[in-house]
Amino acid sequence: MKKITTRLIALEEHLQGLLAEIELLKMEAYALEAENQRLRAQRANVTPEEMNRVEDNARMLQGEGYDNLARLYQEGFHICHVHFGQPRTGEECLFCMTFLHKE
Amino acid sequence: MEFTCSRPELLEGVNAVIRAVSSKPQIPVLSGIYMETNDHVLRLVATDMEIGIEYKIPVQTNQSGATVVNARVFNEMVRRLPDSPVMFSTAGDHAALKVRYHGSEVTLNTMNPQEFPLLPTILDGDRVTLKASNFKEMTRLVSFAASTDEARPWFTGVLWDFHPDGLRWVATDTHRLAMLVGEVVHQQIAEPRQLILHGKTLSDVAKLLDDDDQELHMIMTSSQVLLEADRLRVILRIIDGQYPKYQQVIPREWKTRITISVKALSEAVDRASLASIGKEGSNIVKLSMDKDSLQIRSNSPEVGHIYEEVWIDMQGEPIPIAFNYRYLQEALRVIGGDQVYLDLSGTLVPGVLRPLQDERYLYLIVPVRTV
Ligand SMILES: [Zn+2]
Repeated sequence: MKKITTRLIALEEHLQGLLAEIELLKMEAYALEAENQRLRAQRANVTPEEMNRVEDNARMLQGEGYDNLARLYQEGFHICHVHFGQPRTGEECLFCMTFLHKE
Repeated sequence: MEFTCSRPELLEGVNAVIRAVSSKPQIPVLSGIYMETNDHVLRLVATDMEIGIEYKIPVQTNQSGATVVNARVFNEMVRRLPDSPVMFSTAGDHAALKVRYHGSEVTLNTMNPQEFPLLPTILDGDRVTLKASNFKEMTRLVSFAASTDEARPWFTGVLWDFHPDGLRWVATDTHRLAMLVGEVVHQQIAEPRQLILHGKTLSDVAKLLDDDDQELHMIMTSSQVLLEADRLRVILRIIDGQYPKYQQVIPREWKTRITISVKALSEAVDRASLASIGKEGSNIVKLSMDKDSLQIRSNSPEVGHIYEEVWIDMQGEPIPIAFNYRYLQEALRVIGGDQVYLDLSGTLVPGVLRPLQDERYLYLIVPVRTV
């Protein structure tokens, strides 16, 4: 009996870890959205150099977010808008995959 | 009420409406079939409040009237009637139904017809007219790709995507997706709209359309759809919810196009699926290819290895890919024509089946990651 309890606690901790990670990713996504909006607003009056710098930055940030999401998908969770955060039932998801292979 | 009719026609009517009788009726009268005779037509109605079906058969009416009989009992009785004219009569709205044939007589208990919720007459709404053959095609080529998981209701449905130049039908369970362009005879839609109708129910309705040439008229409100054909009226509830944006899932181009015989591929996949037998069975079939042949491999610890080879024509570079055999098999069973394109863009990009002779249809399958 003790064994199951121990395993449950471990599982709970793991899930809590994942949930915390989702929260972080969500915050990251919000931050990206905000950043994106700000960039759009500024876009009209920036020099090409500034533009390049900002775009590089954005690409780097997006890359990180992408990696995190890809990892989440690998660990068995949906990252698509249809079922975001829900566990996958082992099979691949068309909507997640489209998101992963956008670029 | 008094009318005479023949067993085959009555059986046709009962078979049509019985699908709508609930096994666990919310109110007692819903366990019944409503019957009303007027002008030499017998109207049979059943509903479980999710779907309602009305079917008309010709009869010889002596006196018009209505009644409700228990669906299960009536269905069983009709099946056992002799193939001779049968006379039905009631002495009033609440009286028992007398059924007479040869010298015999059955008296059935009835329920109050006034309590029965009849199908509404919808006058306002968007309208579309289809050929029955096209509707059937939709249920054959698209409905099966919907999910059976009632926990996610919108995936159990077929999306009717109305846009200014026509109609697209889509169904997906997130592992595969089928899409067919509808051939609309007439369409009168206030503005582009999407609605979701239960896939299994649509298939059931298709079975009631015997004449492929007949026209199917649909009126769509915000919550219900009314379908009308010659003898048939069906009312369906629209499934609530926003259908996911399916367009972005469909690859716009391909890197490799494989042209292959539907029959040959279907048979090869059937044999490869032997590996799925048993407890440790595998649903995965691995595809590899070269210029003129496609190799299909599957294996499981219990069954062993299966290797299949099919002649193909290939444009582009080989892309090894793996699929769940069921998603391939189910599509290959319904796709008509001799040959099909299998369009690939990457090992982890959905594969697309497109019949050569039919640009209206496509079927997407999510690949399986194999390490
Ligand atoms: Zn997903």
